[in-house]
Amino acid sequence: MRNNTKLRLRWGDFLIFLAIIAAACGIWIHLAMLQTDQTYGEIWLDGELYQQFRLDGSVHKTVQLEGKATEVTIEVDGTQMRFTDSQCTDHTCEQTGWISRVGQTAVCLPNRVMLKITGSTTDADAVDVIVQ
Amino acid sequence: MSRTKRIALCGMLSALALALSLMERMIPLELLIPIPGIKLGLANVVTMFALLFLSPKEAYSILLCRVVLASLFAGSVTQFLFSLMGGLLALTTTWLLLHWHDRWFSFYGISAASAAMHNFGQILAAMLVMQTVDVIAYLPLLLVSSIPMGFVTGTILEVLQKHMRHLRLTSRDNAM
Repeated sequence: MRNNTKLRLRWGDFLIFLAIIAAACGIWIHLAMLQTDQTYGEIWLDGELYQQFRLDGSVHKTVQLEGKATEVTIEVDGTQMRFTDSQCTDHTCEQTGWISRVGQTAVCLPNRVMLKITGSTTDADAVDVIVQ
Repeated sequence: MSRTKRIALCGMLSALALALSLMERMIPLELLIPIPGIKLGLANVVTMFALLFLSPKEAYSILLCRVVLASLFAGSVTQFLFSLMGGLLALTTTWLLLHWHDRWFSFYGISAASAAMHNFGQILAAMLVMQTVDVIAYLPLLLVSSIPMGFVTGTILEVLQKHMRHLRLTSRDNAM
């Protein structure tokens, strides 16, 4: 059976693979260009900004908040942040791990909670205040 | 193939797709490949199979049954929206590309494109739910992962198709 199922790729297949890789690279490069020196960590709850803090290494804390479905715990460790605990059914958010670069996000969908890293250039017009 | 037989087959395929999608959740693939949201996409094989050996209409029905039942059994409204967006995009992509199967594309390419569109659909659903485009940060790794996943499902389809021809389950509809 193994002999019968050797790879018989068509030229269109390579086009598809190329297109996928190009799209992935495109998004990745776009995100990489957003990098700045000063980064901010943001916690969004149901489409609204819940908390924002400077990720310059000074903030170390855990945030607990009531999401749409259950309680979620978020850990902020200096320059990075992550979901540590969520009571929801899928634990995708915890598996995302630490995020620290501009454009990175970690999402807990059942709870509509999103962690997001922003840089100073992306929201230059925004109020430069740290809400703790 | 008689109408009754077709309906029975659709029912069986829906059950199979449901079982596969539930089983898939028990495989801790995320531990091996740490990309959030990564899946093998085995249930997609069933709908692609239906496209090949039955008709697009039946494939869409099976997809709908699977998505509704899977989110009833072990999911939420969010998950339903996710699977539906991903599934519909993937199936439509497969359906379109199958028109040029064997001439331009093999099952590997079609599966990879289908997996990529599935991921894209899910991110699209996530954008709707979270009301932000920022979740697109998940997409690059998921897109790249759809190539090896496409090889997995493509291989299954290739093997399946070879054996189904001998079984003559659908004697007349083999024309695809």
